[in-house]
Amino acid sequence: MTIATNRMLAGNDALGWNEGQLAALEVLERALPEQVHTGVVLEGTGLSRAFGGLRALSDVSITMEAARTTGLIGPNGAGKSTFFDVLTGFTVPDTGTVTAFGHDVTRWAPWKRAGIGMARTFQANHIATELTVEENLLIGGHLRLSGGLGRTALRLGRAYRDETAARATAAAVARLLDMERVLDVRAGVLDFGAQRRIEIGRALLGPARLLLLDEPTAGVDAVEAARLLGLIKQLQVDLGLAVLIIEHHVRSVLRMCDAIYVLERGQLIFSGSPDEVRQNERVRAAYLGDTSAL
Amino acid sequence: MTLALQFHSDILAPAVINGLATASLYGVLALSLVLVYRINRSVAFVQGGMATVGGFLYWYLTKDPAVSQFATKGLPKVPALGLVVIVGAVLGALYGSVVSNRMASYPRVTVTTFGLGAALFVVGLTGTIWQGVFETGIPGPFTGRVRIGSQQVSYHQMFSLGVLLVVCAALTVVMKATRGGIYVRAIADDSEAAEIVGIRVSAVGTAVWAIAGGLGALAGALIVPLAVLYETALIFVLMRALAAAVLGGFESFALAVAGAAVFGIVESSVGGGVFGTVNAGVREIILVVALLAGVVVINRKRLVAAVGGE
Amino acid sequence: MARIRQGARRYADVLPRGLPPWAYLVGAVVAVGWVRVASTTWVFLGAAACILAIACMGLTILVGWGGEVSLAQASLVGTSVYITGYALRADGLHWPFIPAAALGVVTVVVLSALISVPTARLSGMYVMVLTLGLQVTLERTLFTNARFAGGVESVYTGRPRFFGVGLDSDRAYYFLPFLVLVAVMVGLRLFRHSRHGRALFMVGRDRRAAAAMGISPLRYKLLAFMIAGVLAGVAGALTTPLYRSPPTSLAFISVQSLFYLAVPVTAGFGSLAGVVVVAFVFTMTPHALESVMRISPLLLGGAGLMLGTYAGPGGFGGVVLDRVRARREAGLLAAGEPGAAVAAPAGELDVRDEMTTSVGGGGGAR
Repeated sequence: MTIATNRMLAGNDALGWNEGQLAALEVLERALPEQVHTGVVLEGTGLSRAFGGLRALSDVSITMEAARTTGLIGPNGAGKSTFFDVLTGFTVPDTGTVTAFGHDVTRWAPWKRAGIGMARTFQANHIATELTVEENLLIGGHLRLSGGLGRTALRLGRAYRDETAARATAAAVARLLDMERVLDVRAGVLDFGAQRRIEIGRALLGPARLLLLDEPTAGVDAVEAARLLGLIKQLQVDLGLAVLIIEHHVRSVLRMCDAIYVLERGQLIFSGSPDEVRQNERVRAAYLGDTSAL
Repeated sequence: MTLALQFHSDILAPAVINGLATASLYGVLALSLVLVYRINRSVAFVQGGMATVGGFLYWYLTKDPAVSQFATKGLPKVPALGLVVIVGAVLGALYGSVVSNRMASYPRVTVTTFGLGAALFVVGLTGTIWQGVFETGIPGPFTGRVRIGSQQVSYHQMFSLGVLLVVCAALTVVMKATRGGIYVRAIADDSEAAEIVGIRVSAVGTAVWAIAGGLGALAGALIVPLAVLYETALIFVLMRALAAAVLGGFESFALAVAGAAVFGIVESSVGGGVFGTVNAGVREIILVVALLAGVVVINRKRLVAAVGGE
Repeated sequence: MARIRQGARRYADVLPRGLPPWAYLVGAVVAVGWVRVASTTWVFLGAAACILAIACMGLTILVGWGGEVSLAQASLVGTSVYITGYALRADGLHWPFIPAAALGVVTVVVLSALISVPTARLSGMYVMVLTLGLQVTLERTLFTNARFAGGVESVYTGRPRFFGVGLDSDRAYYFLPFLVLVAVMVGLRLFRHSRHGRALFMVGRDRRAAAAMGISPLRYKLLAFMIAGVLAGVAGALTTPLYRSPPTSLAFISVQSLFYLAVPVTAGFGSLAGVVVVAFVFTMTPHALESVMRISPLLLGGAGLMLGTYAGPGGFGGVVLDRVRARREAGLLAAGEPGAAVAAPAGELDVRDEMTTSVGGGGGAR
């Protein structure tokens, strides 16, 4: 599948990359596993989770289509992050099942889920600030590298070839994120927005087929936020990924997503296309009548 | 190793009395650990250093210089004990002001490691000043003994037990019924929020550390009459105090005392041969298993509490 | 020739950046040459310092990279000392050095792995408590057992010979721990920059993020404890022949574990060379000051541990390293000024015009 086909399938032919980045995109595409182009990639059914007496999530279901951007919105404390944790294995649901790429992953550990292509980011920056940008990206590539302790430490045979290839892919991702020149700089020295991009890049370096992004723009200014969301959308389209995104900036979400889920107090109050969401009274009410947000 | 345990009930009663007396020794130290835990949710390894200070200072102040190779002071014992507590409190306050100001935002593990450093420094300091001290039979503030049942109990043991109960009761009341106790709880829950509502977090922290320091030094001074005093002796006691605090769930003073009592009784029963002869190694393994079980149980509880609180 | 160059490139990043080749030559000459001129007492202490550095590097991995504080390292070293000694002695198993050392190392690795199992799900504070528990258990069991901790009456068979070279003198023996230390440093550098080293480091920084990347925190915690165990075991096995008979167990009790911890904390977890420097300073300073005043090495350790943690999570050395790196990075950041390649993947989001400033390089140097 080529980038052009991906774009065609998505009905989107926006060209936001320069030539070097296009080349990098091809490197990344070759490195990623074969994407799923049709059908359902992730399905959560009847998911509930209570903490003590607090019901953080009650009977929430979600169906994510392949090669689409799906948005998850809702006011603070709606249970979005809990929902994310349940989908990615950081919290085990009390009831309900999670199916990803045809596997029932409800009881899988997060690191096992990563193996089938579920890659997630976190709300606050979760990168190693003492490591360089390149090393942070390579940590994302952990699963694509092979070899035990001896072979990887001594850089023998396939372990070395894998490492070299992963470095090339990391460089490609850095170019896409426009961080090529700072590959060798410790992540902690960079500004917050740059650190956010490292986290997204790191998720891409895993065998990513499904990106789950928990408020990727939290804590960055409006300009940087718009740029980040644009970048995410572009990557999703060009690579044919499936993306689930939690985002506060509702207007951007409605623009970039193909489907939207709205949570309120742990319950799914609405799901549908962005247009349907705009028109829904209950969603408006959930945002306290703040219609301007939509 | 005797793993097939026997049971000799005739020596159980003395073992209980003995165990309670033993427990009273590290009970005070356990209380200070619980106190610190309640304000900053960390294990105050530094209390091993405080106990070392207390033990050495008590010995230094009270030992008759005529029979000592070191220039000790030979002061009367009760005022010396008071002085030890004051020095401990001052050192505790000093330590507390460091960890509750500049280090307040550090990760807990880093602060705990700082405490380990302080303990090690104190141990090294005593080893530098009083090189090669190996003292036994240091007299307690009260000498003499009394017969209870078939068991000889020294006044020092009774005094220690009394101190333990009084301190436990006082801390419980202060924490439950006074404004200071409320502050401590508020800080433990969320120190930033406590700061916002006007609690002077660093001042309260320093005060708590001062009390803990005084208790640690007191514990050290109470222990040395029943132990051998040398450079690293009191670190062992810390381990037992830790076990007591862990058995008590690290939250309640009364439970920590109960933990110390249970632990003391088990230890002296096992050691005293209630279950047949068991060597010191097995005793130590029992200690660690008890600790481990305690840690796992607390952690489960804490985990639930932490997640539920989100 | 081309092959050699290719090989050299493959491993080039193992060496610290920016040191000229003559620096290594000078370093090697000094590290080997001082043994010829110094008195045997100092050489003996040098060997002890190398061994201390090896044991403490185990803590650099466990504490600095893996993010877990262990208070059992001294007891693990001691265990290996006594087990190796027992295997070596004529009144013990009377094995040759290599199998005896292997027995010591394996025992310690198993113990270290065992203590890591319950710690896998516990937070740092409790790991400290449990490792201290292991320390005290070993102190009270193995260390009080005369068969192992022997006391003065049992005597080792002497120091090993390798390839016909006897290491009987202190001067000769120094080279064994020294060469092992160099090998350990190279090995750890290689490990650190491998897939597994990075994964361990990430687990130590952020378990959740590591898990999300497909890294099992449980496996890597176990690995960290095992590496710390191997290095404690090796340090112990090297200690055994250093002495003529089993050393006093006072060298391996709880406070000594704090002392061991003090070395990497003082050095800062970013630097293996720093660990060597601090190990030598801590070992030799009390001896150097002996004519002036006798100080306990624990005093230095305590001061180092306090200052190291007070300086911040990176330790003492971390502050220094930070300066060095910041200077280099300032250059890189300046070179990355906005300009040429600008990510403008605007797509349907109508913000393309806002995207002309640099994304990556420009801002943000602290």
